[in-house]
Formats: sequence, structure tokens, C-alpha cells
Amino acid sequence: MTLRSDGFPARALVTALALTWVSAVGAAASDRAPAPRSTSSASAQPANFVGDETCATCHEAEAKALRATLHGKAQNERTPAARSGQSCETCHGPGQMHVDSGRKEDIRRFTAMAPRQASETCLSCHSRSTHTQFYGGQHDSRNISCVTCHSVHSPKSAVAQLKTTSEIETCATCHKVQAMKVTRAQHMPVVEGKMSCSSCHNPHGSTNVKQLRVGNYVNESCVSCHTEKRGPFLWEHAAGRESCITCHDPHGSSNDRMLVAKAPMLCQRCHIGTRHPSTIYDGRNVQSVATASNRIYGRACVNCHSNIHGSNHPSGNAFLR
Amino acid sequence: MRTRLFVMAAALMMASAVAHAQDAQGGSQPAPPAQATPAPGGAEFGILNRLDFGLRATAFGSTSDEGRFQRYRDLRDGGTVDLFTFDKRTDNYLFDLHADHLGYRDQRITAQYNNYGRVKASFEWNQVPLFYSDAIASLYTDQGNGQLRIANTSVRTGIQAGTLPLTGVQGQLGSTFDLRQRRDIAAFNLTDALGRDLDLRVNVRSTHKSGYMPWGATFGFSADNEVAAPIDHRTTDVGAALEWTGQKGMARVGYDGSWFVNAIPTLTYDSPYRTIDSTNASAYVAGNGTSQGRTAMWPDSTANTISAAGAYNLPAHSRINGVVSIGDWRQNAALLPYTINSAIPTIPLDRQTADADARITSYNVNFTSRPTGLVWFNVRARRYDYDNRTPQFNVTNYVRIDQVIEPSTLGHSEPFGYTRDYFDADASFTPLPYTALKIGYGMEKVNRTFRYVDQTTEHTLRTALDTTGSQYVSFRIAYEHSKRVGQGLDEEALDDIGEQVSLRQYDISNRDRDRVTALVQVTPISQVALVASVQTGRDTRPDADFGLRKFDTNAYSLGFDVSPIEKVGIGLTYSYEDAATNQKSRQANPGTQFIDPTRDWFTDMSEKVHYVVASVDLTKAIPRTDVHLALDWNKSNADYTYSLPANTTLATPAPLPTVYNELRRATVDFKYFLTQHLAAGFVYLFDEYKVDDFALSPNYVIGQRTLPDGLMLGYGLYPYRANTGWLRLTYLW
Repeated sequence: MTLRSDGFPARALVTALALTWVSAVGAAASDRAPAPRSTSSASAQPANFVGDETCATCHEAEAKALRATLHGKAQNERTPAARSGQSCETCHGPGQMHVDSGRKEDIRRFTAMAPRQASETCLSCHSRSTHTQFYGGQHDSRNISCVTCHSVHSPKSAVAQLKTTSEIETCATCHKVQAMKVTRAQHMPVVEGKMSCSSCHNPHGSTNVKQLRVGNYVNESCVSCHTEKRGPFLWEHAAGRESCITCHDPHGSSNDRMLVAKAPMLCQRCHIGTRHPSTIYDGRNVQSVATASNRIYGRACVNCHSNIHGSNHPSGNAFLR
Repeated sequence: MRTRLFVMAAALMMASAVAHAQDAQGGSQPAPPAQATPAPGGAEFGILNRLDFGLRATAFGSTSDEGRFQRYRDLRDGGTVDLFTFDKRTDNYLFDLHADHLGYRDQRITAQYNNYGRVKASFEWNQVPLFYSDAIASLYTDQGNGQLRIANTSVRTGIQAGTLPLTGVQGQLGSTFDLRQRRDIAAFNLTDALGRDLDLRVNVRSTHKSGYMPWGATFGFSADNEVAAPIDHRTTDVGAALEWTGQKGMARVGYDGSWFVNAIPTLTYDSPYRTIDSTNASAYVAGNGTSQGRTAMWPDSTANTISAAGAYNLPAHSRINGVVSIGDWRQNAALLPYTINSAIPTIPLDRQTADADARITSYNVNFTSRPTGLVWFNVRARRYDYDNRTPQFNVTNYVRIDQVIEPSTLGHSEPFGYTRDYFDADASFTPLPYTALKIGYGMEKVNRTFRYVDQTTEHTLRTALDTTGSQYVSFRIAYEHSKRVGQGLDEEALDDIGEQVSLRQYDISNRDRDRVTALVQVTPISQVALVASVQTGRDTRPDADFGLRKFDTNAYSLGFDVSPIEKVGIGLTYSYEDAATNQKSRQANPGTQFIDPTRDWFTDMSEKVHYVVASVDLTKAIPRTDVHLALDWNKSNADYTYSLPANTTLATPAPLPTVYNELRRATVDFKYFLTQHLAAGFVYLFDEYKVDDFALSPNYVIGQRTLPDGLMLGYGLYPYRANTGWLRLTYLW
């Protein structure tokens, strides 16, 4: 493969996109007719199933709401609606007993089910892509089910069918500290609408720590956007290579660059050697020009050690170049 | 150029796929009758399209930092086209187009096409500005290609001759200018359902970052130099995966590639302190050696990962899944010479290129089972191996800050690597309906290279109680205790780098950790919800003499949401958070001072933060009117307090001022529906930032810009007060 002079594999990418397009067109044009939507009556349903029309007799609002969502799109053979007249009973189970008795206890109700039982119903279909790690994940282990956050019949959000109007409202229900931190003076652009909790986290579980969406360790997640810090570098900063959150609070802080503490005090937690690393920089160094010290004003240590994430310069052993 | 190609290619792909898919549908199904029954994608769904257009203006308080107010936004005065939404839905497909802040630096356009069960494609163009400051001043001119030059030679000759003190440079800086950068993201995602159980996923993302950022281009201890460094780099990420999912399980193979290309890999800058190259033993202090500096910026790099995953459903509500991935991070940039200072003899490089390479291997295996309704358990094993294969770079002598040759302390680089192994086991019992008691154990073992500890092992015990069945109350509480211990302590490694041998670097030191979190939600009636939460954590480092020794955090939150009728929603939350740390150091020159405990000193950090978030929503509570009121307020105070032991021989430090940050935002959003399709309204935003930061606020030395030991840009934390108003019309169809 011939690369452009800057290494960007343009030709390969365009080829890949073209192949993908061909595949998509071919699949769309193939003869995969959806399961026909039948308006069959209850008598045409399998034993104990009553059919959508029967359910809608009493639950008209829910039936109407379902048709508006992706669950109600019969063309998609993976949806409940694709099963002939069983949009409702695919998830709620056979309805004959409920119809006969009129009792809510005689039908599967997600608000009354054990959380993992509810999740299992959803995950019987939603078990691909970003949902493959839900079982055993941090939310599952705390008895958080799909219906804790999502609503099938009456979602409030524009995407993801959440029970709240925005994603951060859902997350903030439990994760108050982190949700509040993103409003602090130094923050990622979450409140500006450029990012959300799910930009970094996969609430359905992941192979990474803290349910981070990308990669298999903290740093892989961070460098997926901050790629210039990926390296590897000739001279590595051990604390940063160990973990970005050694020094940074990704949710927000009051310190410049979202550091967990101000420099030089942050740096002086690990650098206790002689001379300037272990010197006290105090009020005199920030309040009087005559005694000002560039080791505490501005960005403190990083005023000089600017390549703090790692350096590729032969003289960069102290990240000065 | 490349981004434009991407945008065009992605748009063509999507449009073509849409067209072909619709053609295919048209060929296999008859067109629906004109108006036999109400089309589900029309009136039944309500009005889905909207367009906001209007006028915006902002009035600032005096001396407000307009840059910080707009940090990630572009709120310039002028006309606005916002919240454009075009949404078309049928029983067969959905097409969705959104556009925000069109024509402004923070504009965003997204498009989505979903042919249900067949093809799902999305595209996003997102501009994320970062406005550092509107009051930057600098001696430098950017001449392109990473070259920063000082046109005013009299400054350099004056400083070199000793006739111009650094504090006198202030008048030579020229007009202030904006310091900003922007991240432009073009992302394309495609999911093609090749069959009922088979998906092909492709994603392509191009991120271009350009602009300027503050950068330390120092020439010595007393010769600091902050510049506006140009940045221009692009990351291209490509991913593809084929995934089969069926009743029995799933299988997936995938590839992810990432290419980082930096158009400015080297930054070269004049020294304001000298015009002629020279070198002397103390030049790294005074900055009076080199006439230029040169920094290696981030090198081009690549990352390639292949992965495979599988899951299998077992009897008794059990499932096993596993993921394996093998990746390679690589960069092989040509190395710069040791220095740009022509007065220093050339030092041969150990090698001509970086030859940096890390092989990353990881696996994750997870087994979950719920054999009965009362018991659940999960076992997980995970390994992450960052195998840094970069050869050591051998150095006998290097050049400190382009000023003077110095011998290398270590003699070589240290390509850090580590292997992390995790094992977790959790079990949950349901002693009462909807009440789960969880116990768990976790172990993390990390082997490292080139750190003073070869291995750390952390054992964690967890327990939690979650009760969620009642419509009136839900309660969650969790406690976690962990203990991290290091093996293979090599104090000589600390001694080699000039550190106290009883220093314990806090990211790998022995540590005892206790964390408790609790959350209770009370819903006495369906219209009212009260939520309270508590979180507390204690970290102690029992063996740490020097370094971080203690880290305590607490957080409390209390709030309510009330919706007396469907059209009214009121919410209020107050939160409080505090953190406290303690660390120890010793102020010492080499020699006897290094071992003198009377020179010890301690830093206590204490931070307290208050938050209030409140909102009122009135959605047609007043006929034809939507009103949204919101308040966001947070205030933090952080103190860094020095203390000395009783037998100290150090001078008493002058206290550091409290670091204070306060943000207040209030929003009023009013909309009146003149007709079903047209609404008029206004938005008012009050945004105020108060700050007092001893390092970055203008009322401290940094406000001088030119200081006895450095020339700074003037970037800092400046307060602002802004009142922004929008008048707008919203058209809905």
C-alpha cells in the first residue's frame, strides 16, 4: 500500500468506504422482506397469546407510543413488532391470563420484575455491539436494570429512550459528584453540549475500567481524543504513562488543565529531590515582583517542563525540550 | 482539504445508500395508498422539524475576560441559525438532520439515516473551539512551519547587554491578540445488517486540531519564556467489525487503526535573552548561552489493534464472554540533534530515529450466572499488558535547555511498561424481594519496569446493599476496602535519580483505601422525589515518609424534583464536596542538608466546594407558552498550607492566598407560540465567573507579564460578567 507522504492511507480508506457502500446497497436490495405485520385476531395467536389488538384495547397509549419508537418498526426483523401481532407479548409475555383476570399480576410488568430479570428480557435482543459487556458489569452488579434508565413506552429524551430529557440527568441520579464536577471552572465541554457522559463511558459495560468506552485501560480512552499524548516517547513521564488520572481529574476541577491539585504542590508529591523540586514556594513568590518565582506563578513547573507528557528530544530527559 | 473529501465521500455514500435502499423497497413492496390511513410518519408523530433564527448580543462587565466566557463556545453578537432539525420518519426509515450554531466556530451538523433492520448510517461535523484568552501579548511572530521569531532585535540586544531588564520588556510587547485553537471532527459511522444475525460496522473519524496554545519555551531557571505555540495536527481513526449475534451467543472480529500526523513536529524560537550563540556553565540558570531554542513537539504515530470477542449463553441464566485484543503503538520520528546552539559541539546520537514501539495485549474473560432468582454471581479475569519495546536511548552527555553540556545522571532512557492483571468475583443474594446484598473481592497485580517498585498487589473487598422494589423508597449503600502493597522495593532506584529513599510515589505506593457511598430516593407521591447521597473516602499511605501521605474526600448531596402537574417541573439540588491531602518534602541542597530532618516541611491541601442546581419548567402551563428557568452555581475554596516541624531550621513560609473560584449561571428561556408553527421568544443568560488564583490571577505577579525571571504571555484566569440576550423566532413544520 502506497501511503501519502504524511502517512495517511487515503487510497485504502476510500477503497474501504467503497466496499462498505457496495455491501450496504447489496444488503438493502436483497430479498429480505420483513415478517409481515398481521392484524390477526386473538384466535390466530399461539396458545396464551392474545395479539397486539387485544392489548391495545385497554393500553392504547402504550401501543401508540411503541409504534413511534424503533421497537415498533416491523421492517426490522429483530424488533418485537416483526413478530406477527406480538409486539407487546414479545416482552410482556403471553397475555391470556391477564386478559381473563384483568389483574396486573398476571402479566410481566417491568416495574415489578426483579432487576436482572427485566434486563434479561431486554438483553435477549440488545446483546450486540456496545451491550455485550452488560452482564457482570458494574451497573448489573448493583442491580441496575435497563428500565432503571430507559423507558420503552414513554421516553423523554431525543435519543436512547431515556426516562429523563438529557443523558446527564440520568447519570446524575446516582453519580452526583461527577455530574456536579463537570460544571466546575476547568472542565471538558460537557455543559457546552460538545460532549456527554457517554462520550467517555459506556453505561452498558465495557472491557475497560470505570466502564470507559474506548480501549482496555484508562490511557487508551484518553488518547483516543488527545492522540498527541499517545507516544510512545523517547523519554516517558512515568506518572503519565501509568495513568492520566494520576494528575488529572477528567470530570472537572478548579485547577488549570483539570489537575487534581495545583502545581508545584502536585509535582512535589513525587519529586522530593534536592534544589528546586523540593523548595517551598510561598506567598512571597506570587505577591511581590521582586521575589516572584516562575516555579509557582503561571503554570509553575510546566512553565519549563513543557513536554510533561513525554519528550522525543534527545535532550528531553527532564521534558524541558 | 482531506476533511472536505471525507465530508463529500460520506455524504455521497449515505445519499447513495439511502437511494438504493429506497429503490429496493420500492421494488419489493407496493407504494402505500395516498391517504387511505394516516401515515405513521406524519401527523401521528407530531411536528418534528424546527428552525430557530434570531439575534444575539452580549454586554460584558468592565475588564471581563471575553475569551474565558466563550471558552468552548462562540457567542459573538449577530444573527443566529440554531437548533435546525429536519426529521422524516416512516414505517421503513428515519432520516434526521440537525444543525446548531451555523456559521459560528462551535457549529455542529449531524445526520442520521436508519433503514430499519438494514442500514444505519450517521455523520457528524463538530467544531469545538477553545478560547484561551483575548489578552495575549508576545514578542514573537509566527513565520510558519513552527518558527517563532522576534522582529524587535533591540529587545534581545538590550537584554544581552544587560541594559534592558526583563521587567522593562513590557512596553515592547505590542498589541494584545486572541489565543485560541479549534478541534474539527468529521465522523462517519455505518452499521449494515447483512442478515438477521450479522452486522458489519464501519467507522471513520478525522480530527483536526489547529490554532495556538500557551507553551513554555524556557531558556533557563531565571529565563522563563512563554510563547503562543502553533499547533496543526490531524488524527484519523478507522474501525471495522463483523459481529454475529444469535440466541446462543455472539462473535465479533474487529480492527481499529489510528494515525496521528503533526504538521508542526518541531518548534524553533528565538531567545529574547541573546542574539549570539555561546555556552557557559551557568547559562542554564541565566539563559545567556543560546540564541535560539528548539523543542520536539509530538511525533507522528500510529496505533493498530485487532480484536476478537465471543460470548456463549449457558443454562441457568449463565453467560461467558471473552475479548482478546492485540495492538501496536509506534512512532519512529527522526530525532533532532541534542541542541540548536552552534557554540556547543555536536554530540553523536545513539540512533537517528526514535524507534519507539509498544505492543499492547489484553484479554477480558467474564462469567456471569443467575442459577436461581435469589443468587447471582460474576467472575472476571482481565489482563492488560503494555509492553514497551522501545530500545533504551543511551546518553552520556546531553544539552540542558540548549545552554550547556551536562553529563546524564542515568545514562539512558527508561521505556516504562507494565502488565496489569485483574481478578474480580462478586456474588449477590436476594434475602428479601428487590433487596440485593452483594459481596465481592477484587485483586489487581501490576508488574512494572523502571519504577522503584517491581510489583504492586491490591486486594479489594466490596459489599453493597441495594433495595429498589418499593415505589416509595430506594436505597443503595456500598463499602469498599482495599489494600495495596508493593514488592521488590528498590530504594537504590530512587537514590539514582536523586530522590529521598523513603519517598513513596503516590500512584504506586502502599495504600489503604476505604470508600462508602450511599444514596436514598424517597417518592412519597408520584409527583415528588427527594434524593440524598453521601460519599466518603479515606486514603492512607502507611509506609510513605516523603510524598503524599493522606487523601480524604467527602461529598454530600440533597435535592428534590416536583412535578405537581404534567406541565410543571421544579428541581433543586445542593451538593457539598471537600477534599484534604497531606504531603511531606525536605528543602535541601545536595550534601548534609539532604539528610537533615530539620529541613522537612509539610503541605496540607484543603478544598471545599458548594454546588446548587435549580430549574423550573413550565410547558404550556401558561397557554401557548413554554418557560424554562435554570440556575447553576458553584463555589470552591482551596487552601495550600505549609507547616514546619518543631525543630525546624527553615524560615517560616509566607502563607499562600486561598484559591477561590465561583461560577454563576442563570438562564431564562421564554417562548410564545403565535401559531402551531411559529413561536417567538427570548433567552437571557447571565454568566459570571469570579476567581482569585495566586498563580494565574492578574492581581498577582502573573498580571505583570514581564517578570525578573520570565516573560509570560498574559494567559491566566480572569473574571468575567456577561449578560447575553437572544431574540428568536422558531418555525416548526
